[in-house]
Amino acid sequence: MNHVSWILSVAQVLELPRHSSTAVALHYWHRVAAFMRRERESHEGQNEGVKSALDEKLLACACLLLACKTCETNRRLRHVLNAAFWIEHSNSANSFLNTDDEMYWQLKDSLIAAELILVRILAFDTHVETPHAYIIHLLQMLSEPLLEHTPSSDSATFFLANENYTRLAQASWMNANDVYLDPRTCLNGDARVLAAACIVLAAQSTHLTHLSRQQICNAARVDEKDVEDAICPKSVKKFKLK
Amino acid sequence: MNATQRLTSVTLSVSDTPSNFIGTCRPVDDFEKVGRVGEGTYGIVYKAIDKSNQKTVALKRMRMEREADGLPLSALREISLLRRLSHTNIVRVMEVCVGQDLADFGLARQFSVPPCPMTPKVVTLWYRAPEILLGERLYTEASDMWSAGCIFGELLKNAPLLPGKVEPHQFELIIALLGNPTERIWPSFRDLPLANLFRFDTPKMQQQYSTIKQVLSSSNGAAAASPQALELVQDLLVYDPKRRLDTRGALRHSYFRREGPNPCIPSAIRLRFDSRSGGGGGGIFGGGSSAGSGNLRGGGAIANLRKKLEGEQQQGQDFRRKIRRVDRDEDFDLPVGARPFRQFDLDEK
Repeated sequence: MNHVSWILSVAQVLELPRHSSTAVALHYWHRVAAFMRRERESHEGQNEGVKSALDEKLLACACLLLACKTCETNRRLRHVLNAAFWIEHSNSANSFLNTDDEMYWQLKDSLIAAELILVRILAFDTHVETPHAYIIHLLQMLSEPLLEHTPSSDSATFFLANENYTRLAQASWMNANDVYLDPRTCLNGDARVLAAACIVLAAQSTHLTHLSRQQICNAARVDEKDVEDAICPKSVKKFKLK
Repeated sequence: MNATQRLTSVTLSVSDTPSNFIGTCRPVDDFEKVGRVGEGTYGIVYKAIDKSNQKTVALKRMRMEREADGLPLSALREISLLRRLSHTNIVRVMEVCVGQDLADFGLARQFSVPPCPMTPKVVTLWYRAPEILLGERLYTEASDMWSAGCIFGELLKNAPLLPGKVEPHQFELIIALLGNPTERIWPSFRDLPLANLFRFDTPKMQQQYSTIKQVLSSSNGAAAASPQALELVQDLLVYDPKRRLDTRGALRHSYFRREGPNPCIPSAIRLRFDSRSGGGGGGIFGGGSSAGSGNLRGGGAIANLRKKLEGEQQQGQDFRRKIRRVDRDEDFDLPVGARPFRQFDLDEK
């Protein structure tokens, strides 16, 4: 299991919202991975001793813990640890941590230390804006001209009544979730550009052709070129790695 | 070889991580402390020099309590919010640097306002809305409007409006100022979670009328508040959060419209110095003699700031010179905005 799906599984056990803490934890993880890759490259050709001494799974776990805090979806450290341990050892006989066990306290202290290491890798820049809120706002804006022809209804009832638009909203939302599966999409664009990109792709896949790319970009007040770059990222830009 | 700490992963593999790991942060050794400025809510604030570019910064040492759940949420919130805020009168967090001890980190900030000398522990209590005192969990931005009212009142009174020591005392002060809350003016306040912890029937809590007019009409040498200013405070300090003025209403309030000077962007505000009233605290805004067109009403806080710069703050020396020069000169206009309070900008010239 790669680390992204590992984080997704643990987040699911913790019942974390997909659009906030889960997405943010993945965002943190991609930045950690970029940092570690860069560290490895800078130490290439040197001897074994300076090999990165950071444990990836432990940091992935810290990403979840920190995301819970910054997204105000409170989960106890104990719960994060238990969920991670259960996912990691679900195939073995002892998949539950026991607080009587010395191992539990060792893991807990390690996770607290790993959280401090994580915020240092992130340079304490922990605020992540996800595109989801923008998507809702944008879809509402895009539906406004159509509402004029259907009197006495707000955008919520309009979406429910129009199957195509319901599908558009769902597809956009799913695209926004998928943004966080890949570092190239999640580390490159800002939330507003990503939101526009998610809707552009969703409009294509749901065949709502009258919603042009230009119309969506105008509503989001973003550059079409930026949206194009967000959809087809060429490489991972250096995300605030000094 | 550096010291390492042994960490156990959820995979049960063990790794040795260097204790001085700093990631992408800068080490705190990059800054040289040159003085102590004061103590904030979460730690001590130093004046420091960034060795890489010789710039003066404020360095805040954040105390890290070893908490059961790792990094404290309050510290994370403070860093994250200050990073996102951008305003001339609010310190800007430039970066977070890291000390040697794993459980200690510093905040490098740009200076803009002299630190508040009041004990920070109670500072929030003074501005706390009654519904929060009564344990309301779902409080709204109306609670912030209450705080705005307290601060506006403080500017007019030239002293804290409701300086409560503990929660019950805070409530006593509120009642002394505004009178008893009743079901008529604040329906269902007795249903709030902590309402039964406060006794509203003691003699101290018996106060039928609001004394806000008397309190703000003459105190501490501050000029009497104008009728519209009084009205604005009264509209902000309303018991029932639902009936309290909101931001929109406050901006439309007649105080800002009927009485000059009209609102303007901060950089356009000009303070008028009146050298005739001497170096006392009321010099900037003192009474009638300087009540010209450019005068601000209720400048107690600015006068306090000035007092602070002249007396308590070692760091304010450069700014002090500026004020003395002003005092020699008659009717000198000191532009107010970010500049005069950002005394460390003067270092760069």
